[in-house]
Amino acid sequence: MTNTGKLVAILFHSPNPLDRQKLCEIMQIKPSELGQLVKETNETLAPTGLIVVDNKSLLLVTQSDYANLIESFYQVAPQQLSQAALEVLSVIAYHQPISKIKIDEMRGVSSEQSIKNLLNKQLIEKSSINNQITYHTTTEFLKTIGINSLKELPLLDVQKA
Amino acid sequence: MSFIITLDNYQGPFDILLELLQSKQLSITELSLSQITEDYIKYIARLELSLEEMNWFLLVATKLTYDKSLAVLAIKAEEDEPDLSETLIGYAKIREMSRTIATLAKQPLYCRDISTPRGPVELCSVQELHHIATTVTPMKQLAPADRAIKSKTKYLEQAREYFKNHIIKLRNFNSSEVLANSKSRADAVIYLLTLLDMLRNGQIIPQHNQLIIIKE
Repeated sequence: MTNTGKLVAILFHSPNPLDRQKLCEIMQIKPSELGQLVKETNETLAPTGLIVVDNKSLLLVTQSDYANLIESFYQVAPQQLSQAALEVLSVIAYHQPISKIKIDEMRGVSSEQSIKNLLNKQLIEKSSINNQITYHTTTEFLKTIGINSLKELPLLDVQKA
Repeated sequence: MSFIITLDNYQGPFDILLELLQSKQLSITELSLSQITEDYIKYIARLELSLEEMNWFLLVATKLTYDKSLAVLAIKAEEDEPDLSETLIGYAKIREMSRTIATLAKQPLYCRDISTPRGPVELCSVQELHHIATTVTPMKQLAPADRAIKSKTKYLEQAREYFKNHIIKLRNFNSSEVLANSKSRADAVIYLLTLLDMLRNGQIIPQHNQLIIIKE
Protein backbone atom coordinates (compact mmCIF):
# COMPACT_ATOMS: atom_id res chain seq x y z
CA MET A 1 0.00 0.00 0.00
CA THR A 2 1.24 3.47 -0.88
CA ASN A 3 0.45 6.63 1.05
CA THR A 4 -1.26 7.99 -2.07
CA GLY A 5 -3.40 4.88 -2.21
CA LYS A 6 -4.26 5.13 1.47
CA LEU A 7 -5.21 8.79 1.15
CA VAL A 8 -7.42 8.23 -1.89
CA ALA A 9 -9.08 5.20 -0.29
CA ILE A 10 -9.93 7.06 2.89
CA LEU A 11 -11.15 10.18 1.06
CA PHE A 12 -13.12 8.16 -1.48
CA HIS A 13 -15.26 6.70 1.27
CA SER A 14 -16.25 10.09 2.69
CA PRO A 15 -18.73 12.55 1.18
CA ASN A 16 -17.60 15.11 3.78
CA PRO A 17 -14.28 16.92 4.26
CA LEU A 18 -11.88 15.03 6.53
CA ASP A 19 -9.77 16.69 9.18
CA ARG A 20 -6.06 16.99 8.29
CA GLN A 21 -4.89 16.16 11.80
CA LYS A 22 -6.99 13.03 11.97
CA LEU A 23 -5.75 11.88 8.57
CA CYS A 24 -2.15 12.34 9.69
CA GLU A 25 -2.78 10.25 12.78
CA ILE A 26 -4.44 7.42 10.88
CA MET A 27 -1.83 7.42 8.11
CA GLN A 28 1.00 7.89 10.59
CA ILE A 29 2.58 10.79 8.75
CA LYS A 30 3.63 14.24 9.93
CA PRO A 31 1.33 17.19 9.21
CA SER A 32 4.17 18.77 7.26
CA GLU A 33 4.24 15.74 4.95
CA LEU A 34 0.54 15.85 4.16
CA GLY A 35 0.76 18.88 1.85
CA GLN A 36 3.40 17.16 -0.29
CA LEU A 37 1.38 13.93 -0.29
CA VAL A 38 -1.71 15.82 -1.51
CA LYS A 39 0.39 17.41 -4.26
CA GLU A 40 1.71 14.02 -5.37
CA THR A 41 -1.76 12.47 -5.12
CA ASN A 42 -3.24 15.20 -7.31
CA GLU A 43 -0.53 14.58 -9.92
CA THR A 44 -1.45 10.89 -9.88
CA LEU A 45 -5.17 11.70 -10.05
CA ALA A 46 -4.80 14.24 -12.87
CA PRO A 47 -5.97 11.91 -15.70
CA THR A 48 -8.82 10.43 -13.62
CA GLY A 49 -11.09 13.47 -13.43
CA LEU A 50 -10.68 13.59 -9.65
CA ILE A 51 -8.74 15.93 -7.39
CA VAL A 52 -8.15 16.38 -3.65
CA VAL A 53 -9.28 19.72 -2.24
CA ASP A 54 -6.83 20.89 0.40
CA ASN A 55 -7.96 23.32 3.08
CA LYS A 56 -8.11 22.74 6.83
CA SER A 57 -9.72 19.50 5.77
CA LEU A 58 -9.37 17.31 2.70
CA LEU A 59 -12.06 16.20 0.27
CA LEU A 60 -11.96 14.08 -2.86
CA VAL A 61 -13.94 15.77 -5.65
CA THR A 62 -14.34 15.85 -9.40
CA GLN A 63 -12.17 18.28 -11.34
CA SER A 64 -13.80 21.55 -12.41
CA ASP A 65 -13.45 20.63 -16.10
CA TYR A 66 -16.03 17.91 -15.53
CA ALA A 67 -18.61 20.20 -13.86
CA ASN A 68 -20.80 20.51 -16.96
CA LEU A 69 -20.78 16.74 -17.46
CA ILE A 70 -21.84 16.10 -13.86
CA GLU A 71 -24.54 18.78 -14.04
CA SER A 72 -25.89 17.36 -17.28
CA PHE A 73 -25.89 13.75 -16.09
CA TYR A 74 -27.26 14.30 -12.58
CA GLN A 75 -29.47 17.29 -13.43
CA VAL A 76 -27.87 19.47 -10.79
CA ALA A 77 -26.91 23.13 -10.99
CA PRO A 78 -24.08 25.20 -9.52
CA GLN A 79 -24.93 27.12 -6.37
CA GLN A 80 -26.48 30.52 -7.04
CA LEU A 81 -25.35 33.43 -4.89
CA SER A 82 -26.67 36.98 -4.75
CA GLN A 83 -24.42 39.92 -5.65
CA ALA A 84 -24.23 40.88 -1.96
CA ALA A 85 -23.25 37.34 -0.94
CA LEU A 86 -20.62 37.21 -3.67
CA GLU A 87 -19.13 40.48 -2.46
CA VAL A 88 -18.98 39.33 1.15
CA LEU A 89 -17.54 35.98 0.10
CA SER A 90 -14.88 37.74 -1.99
CA VAL A 91 -13.89 40.02 0.84
CA ILE A 92 -13.57 37.07 3.22
CA ALA A 93 -11.72 34.94 0.66
CA TYR A 94 -9.08 37.58 -0.01
CA HIS A 95 -8.81 39.07 3.48
CA GLN A 96 -9.43 36.14 5.85
CA PRO A 97 -9.65 36.04 8.76
CA ILE A 98 -11.73 39.21 8.83
CA SER A 99 -14.31 40.71 11.20
CA LYS A 100 -17.86 41.75 10.28
CA ILE A 101 -17.08 45.37 11.15
CA LYS A 102 -14.25 45.41 8.65
CA ILE A 103 -16.41 43.75 5.97
CA ASP A 104 -19.17 46.34 6.52
CA GLU A 105 -16.63 49.13 6.35
CA MET A 106 -15.22 47.89 3.07
CA ARG A 107 -18.66 47.45 1.48
CA GLY A 108 -20.23 50.57 2.98
CA VAL A 109 -23.30 48.59 4.00
CA SER A 110 -24.34 45.98 6.53
CA SER A 111 -23.32 42.43 5.62
CA GLU A 112 -25.20 40.70 8.40
CA GLN A 113 -27.77 38.89 6.28
CA SER A 114 -25.22 37.82 3.68
CA ILE A 115 -22.94 36.45 6.40
CA LYS A 116 -25.84 34.47 7.85
CA ASN A 117 -26.64 33.02 4.43
CA LEU A 118 -23.02 32.11 3.76
CA LEU A 119 -22.76 30.45 7.17
CA ASN A 120 -25.91 28.46 6.43
CA LYS A 121 -24.47 27.36 3.10
CA GLN A 122 -21.27 26.38 4.97
CA LEU A 123 -19.20 28.52 2.60
CA ILE A 124 -17.72 30.39 5.55
CA GLU A 125 -17.04 29.65 9.21
CA LYS A 126 -16.51 31.90 12.17
CA SER A 127 -13.79 31.65 14.75
CA SER A 128 -12.90 33.69 17.79
CA ILE A 129 -9.48 35.23 18.20
CA ASN A 130 -8.87 37.39 21.29
CA ASN A 131 -12.63 37.70 21.83
CA GLN A 132 -13.08 39.02 18.31
CA ILE A 133 -15.20 37.02 15.90
CA THR A 134 -13.65 36.62 12.50
CA TYR A 135 -14.74 34.76 9.37
CA HIS A 136 -12.86 32.51 7.00
CA THR A 137 -13.72 30.36 4.00
CA THR A 138 -14.27 26.60 4.14
CA THR A 139 -13.56 23.53 2.04
CA GLU A 140 -17.12 23.88 0.75
CA PHE A 141 -16.15 27.31 -0.57
CA LEU A 142 -13.23 25.85 -2.53
CA LYS A 143 -15.55 23.18 -3.92
CA THR A 144 -18.14 25.79 -4.89
CA ILE A 145 -15.75 27.96 -6.84
CA GLY A 146 -13.91 25.04 -8.38
CA ILE A 147 -10.42 25.40 -6.93
CA ASN A 148 -8.61 22.87 -4.77
CA SER A 149 -6.62 25.26 -2.58
CA LEU A 150 -6.72 28.91 -1.52
CA LYS A 151 -3.38 29.25 -3.26
CA GLU A 152 -5.31 28.88 -6.52
CA LEU A 153 -7.41 32.00 -5.94
CA PRO A 154 -6.71 34.30 -8.90
CA LEU A 155 -4.19 36.96 -7.97
CA LEU A 156 -5.74 40.39 -7.83
CA ASP A 157 -4.33 43.69 -6.73
CA VAL A 158 -6.30 43.76 -3.52
CA GLN A 159 -3.86 45.66 -1.37
CA LYS A 160 -6.15 48.66 -1.22
CA ALA A 161 -9.33 46.64 -1.09
CA MET B 1 -27.38 68.85 -14.21
CA SER B 2 -28.79 65.85 -12.38
CA PHE B 3 -28.47 62.30 -13.54
CA ILE B 4 -31.03 59.59 -13.08
CA ILE B 5 -29.47 56.19 -12.85
CA THR B 6 -30.87 52.71 -12.66
CA LEU B 7 -28.81 49.98 -11.07
CA ASP B 8 -29.30 46.35 -12.04
CA ASN B 9 -27.22 45.10 -9.15
CA TYR B 10 -27.94 47.80 -6.62
CA GLN B 11 -26.58 46.98 -3.20
CA GLY B 12 -25.45 49.97 -1.26
CA PRO B 13 -24.19 53.54 -1.31
CA PHE B 14 -20.85 52.69 -2.91
CA ASP B 15 -22.62 51.14 -5.90
CA ILE B 16 -24.51 54.39 -6.42
CA LEU B 17 -21.33 56.44 -6.20
CA LEU B 18 -19.56 54.20 -8.71
CA GLU B 19 -22.49 54.36 -11.12
CA LEU B 20 -22.75 58.14 -10.80
CA LEU B 21 -19.03 58.50 -11.49
CA GLN B 22 -19.29 56.14 -14.44
CA SER B 23 -22.30 57.98 -15.88
CA LYS B 24 -20.27 61.19 -15.85
CA GLN B 25 -17.13 59.39 -17.01
CA LEU B 26 -15.22 60.54 -13.95
CA SER B 27 -12.41 58.65 -12.25
CA ILE B 28 -12.46 57.88 -8.54
CA THR B 29 -10.90 60.95 -6.93
CA GLU B 30 -11.89 63.33 -4.13
CA LEU B 31 -12.51 66.01 -6.76
CA SER B 32 -14.81 63.76 -8.78
CA LEU B 33 -16.73 62.81 -5.67
CA SER B 34 -17.37 66.44 -4.82
CA GLN B 35 -18.87 66.83 -8.31
CA ILE B 36 -21.45 64.10 -7.74
CA THR B 37 -22.36 64.94 -4.14
CA GLU B 38 -25.64 66.64 -5.09
CA ASP B 39 -26.66 63.87 -7.46
CA TYR B 40 -26.02 61.32 -4.75
CA ILE B 41 -28.12 63.19 -2.21
CA LYS B 42 -30.97 63.62 -4.72
CA TYR B 43 -30.78 59.94 -5.57
CA ILE B 44 -30.95 58.66 -2.02
CA ALA B 45 -33.80 61.06 -1.20
CA ARG B 46 -35.94 58.97 -3.58
CA LEU B 47 -35.02 55.62 -2.05
CA GLU B 48 -37.50 53.82 0.14
CA LEU B 49 -35.36 52.11 2.73
CA SER B 50 -35.60 51.01 6.30
CA LEU B 51 -34.05 53.26 8.92
CA GLU B 52 -31.14 50.88 9.35
CA GLU B 53 -30.43 50.72 5.63
CA MET B 54 -30.77 54.46 5.26
CA ASN B 55 -28.11 55.00 7.95
CA TRP B 56 -25.46 53.63 5.63
CA PHE B 57 -26.50 55.95 2.81
CA LEU B 58 -26.62 58.97 5.10
CA LEU B 59 -23.19 58.16 6.45
CA VAL B 60 -21.76 58.42 2.96
CA ALA B 61 -23.81 61.55 2.23
CA THR B 62 -22.39 63.16 5.37
CA LYS B 63 -18.86 62.25 4.39
CA LEU B 64 -19.36 63.57 0.85
CA THR B 65 -20.80 66.85 2.11
CA TYR B 66 -18.06 67.23 4.69
CA ASP B 67 -15.31 66.60 2.16
CA LYS B 68 -16.90 69.02 -0.30
CA SER B 69 -17.11 71.70 2.40
CA LEU B 70 -13.43 71.26 3.16
CA ALA B 71 -12.63 71.60 -0.54
CA VAL B 72 -14.72 74.76 -0.92
CA LEU B 73 -13.12 76.31 2.15
CA ALA B 74 -9.69 75.11 1.04
CA ILE B 75 -9.15 73.35 4.36
CA LYS B 76 -6.95 70.28 4.42
CA ALA B 77 -8.50 67.18 5.96
CA GLU B 78 -6.96 65.62 9.04
CA GLU B 79 -4.44 62.91 8.21
CA ASP B 80 -6.25 60.17 10.12
CA GLU B 81 -9.61 60.88 8.47
CA PRO B 82 -10.73 58.06 6.16
CA ASP B 83 -10.37 58.92 2.51
CA LEU B 84 -13.65 58.12 0.72
CA SER B 85 -12.02 57.89 -2.69
CA GLU B 86 -9.61 55.25 -1.41
CA THR B 87 -12.46 53.32 0.21
CA LEU B 88 -14.34 53.50 -3.09
CA ILE B 89 -11.32 52.26 -5.05
CA GLY B 90 -11.21 49.38 -2.59
CA TYR B 91 -14.89 48.69 -3.17
CA ALA B 92 -14.42 48.71 -6.94
CA LYS B 93 -11.82 46.00 -6.42
CA ILE B 94 -14.28 44.01 -4.29
CA ARG B 95 -16.78 44.12 -7.15
CA GLU B 96 -14.03 42.90 -9.48
CA MET B 97 -13.21 40.10 -7.02
CA SER B 98 -16.87 39.08 -6.78
CA ARG B 99 -17.07 38.85 -10.58
CA THR B 100 -14.04 36.56 -10.52
CA ILE B 101 -15.62 34.38 -7.81
CA ALA B 102 -18.90 34.28 -9.76
CA THR B 103 -17.05 33.14 -12.89
CA LEU B 104 -15.18 30.45 -10.97
CA ALA B 105 -18.43 29.25 -9.37
CA LYS B 106 -19.74 28.29 -12.81
CA GLN B 107 -17.41 25.30 -12.72
CA PRO B 108 -17.63 23.87 -9.21
CA LEU B 109 -16.10 20.67 -7.93
CA TYR B 110 -18.48 17.87 -7.02
CA CYS B 111 -17.99 15.27 -4.31
CA ARG B 112 -19.87 12.05 -3.74
CA ASP B 113 -23.49 12.94 -3.29
CA ILE B 114 -24.98 11.37 -0.19
CA SER B 115 -28.44 12.35 -1.39
CA THR B 116 -28.18 9.98 -4.34
CA PRO B 117 -30.70 7.25 -3.65
CA ARG B 118 -28.87 3.99 -2.98
CA GLY B 119 -31.80 1.69 -3.46
CA PRO B 120 -35.05 1.41 -5.36
CA VAL B 121 -37.40 4.31 -4.73
CA GLU B 122 -41.14 4.60 -4.41
CA LEU B 123 -43.18 7.73 -4.62
CA CYS B 124 -45.82 8.80 -2.20
CA SER B 125 -47.93 11.89 -1.74
CA VAL B 126 -47.94 14.15 1.27
CA GLN B 127 -51.38 12.81 2.15
CA GLU B 128 -50.09 9.25 2.16
CA LEU B 129 -47.11 10.23 4.24
CA HIS B 130 -49.34 12.09 6.64
CA HIS B 131 -51.52 9.04 6.99
CA ILE B 132 -48.47 6.91 7.75
CA ALA B 133 -47.10 9.42 10.24
CA THR B 134 -50.34 9.68 12.11
CA THR B 135 -51.02 5.95 12.22
CA VAL B 136 -47.59 4.84 13.41
CA THR B 137 -48.61 5.96 16.86
CA PRO B 138 -52.26 6.22 17.86
CA MET B 139 -52.34 10.00 17.76
CA LYS B 140 -55.86 10.11 19.08
CA GLN B 141 -54.47 9.14 22.44
CA LEU B 142 -51.98 11.99 22.30
CA ALA B 143 -54.32 14.89 21.70
CA PRO B 144 -52.89 17.26 24.34
CA ALA B 145 -49.74 18.79 22.88
CA ASP B 146 -47.66 18.37 26.05
CA ARG B 147 -48.33 14.67 26.30
CA ALA B 148 -47.59 14.26 22.66
CA ILE B 149 -44.29 16.08 22.86
CA LYS B 150 -43.26 14.07 25.91
CA SER B 151 -43.88 10.96 23.87
CA LYS B 152 -41.98 12.17 20.87
CA THR B 153 -38.92 10.01 21.40
CA LYS B 154 -40.91 6.84 21.08
CA TYR B 155 -42.85 8.29 18.20
CA LEU B 156 -39.71 9.41 16.38
CA GLU B 157 -38.20 5.96 16.63
CA GLN B 158 -41.33 4.33 15.27
CA ALA B 159 -41.81 6.87 12.52
CA ARG B 160 -38.15 6.71 11.52
CA GLU B 161 -38.23 2.96 11.33
CA TYR B 162 -41.33 3.05 9.20
CA PHE B 163 -39.84 5.59 6.81
CA LYS B 164 -36.67 3.53 6.49
CA ASN B 165 -38.59 0.46 5.51
CA HIS B 166 -41.43 1.82 3.44
CA ILE B 167 -41.04 5.32 2.13
CA ILE B 168 -38.22 6.59 0.03
CA LYS B 169 -39.24 9.74 -1.74
CA LEU B 170 -41.64 12.61 -1.20
CA ARG B 171 -43.00 14.80 -3.91
CA ASN B 172 -43.64 18.52 -3.53
CA PHE B 173 -43.42 18.55 0.24
CA ASN B 174 -45.32 21.49 1.59
CA SER B 175 -45.29 22.22 5.31
CA SER B 176 -48.50 24.26 5.20
CA GLU B 177 -50.23 21.34 3.49
CA VAL B 178 -49.03 19.06 6.27
CA LEU B 179 -50.34 21.44 8.88
CA ALA B 180 -53.67 21.72 7.10
CA ASN B 181 -53.99 17.94 7.05
CA SER B 182 -53.17 17.54 10.72
CA LYS B 183 -56.05 16.64 12.98
CA SER B 184 -54.54 18.41 15.98
CA ARG B 185 -51.65 20.69 16.86
CA ALA B 186 -49.89 17.81 18.57
CA ASP B 187 -50.30 15.78 15.42
CA ALA B 188 -48.68 18.51 13.30
CA VAL B 189 -45.91 19.28 15.78
CA ILE B 190 -44.77 15.70 16.13
CA TYR B 191 -45.05 15.03 12.45
CA LEU B 192 -42.82 18.01 11.64
CA LEU B 193 -40.44 17.12 14.48
CA THR B 194 -39.99 13.73 12.89
CA LEU B 195 -39.13 15.26 9.54
CA LEU B 196 -36.75 17.79 11.11
CA ASP B 197 -35.04 15.06 13.09
CA MET B 198 -34.56 12.97 9.97
CA LEU B 199 -33.28 16.01 8.06
CA ARG B 200 -30.75 16.66 10.82
CA ASN B 201 -29.61 13.07 10.76
CA GLY B 202 -29.25 13.09 6.99
CA GLN B 203 -31.99 10.54 6.51
CA ILE B 204 -33.95 13.04 4.47
CA ILE B 205 -32.11 15.22 1.99
CA PRO B 206 -33.67 18.32 0.42
CA GLN B 207 -32.89 18.39 -3.26
CA HIS B 208 -34.42 20.92 -5.64
CA ASN B 209 -38.15 20.91 -4.77
CA GLN B 210 -38.13 17.44 -3.31
CA LEU B 211 -37.30 15.75 -0.10
CA ILE B 212 -35.53 12.48 -0.68
CA ILE B 213 -35.56 9.88 2.04
CA ILE B 214 -32.46 7.76 2.03
CA LYS B 215 -33.08 4.06 2.21
CA GLU B 216 -30.37 2.40 4.26
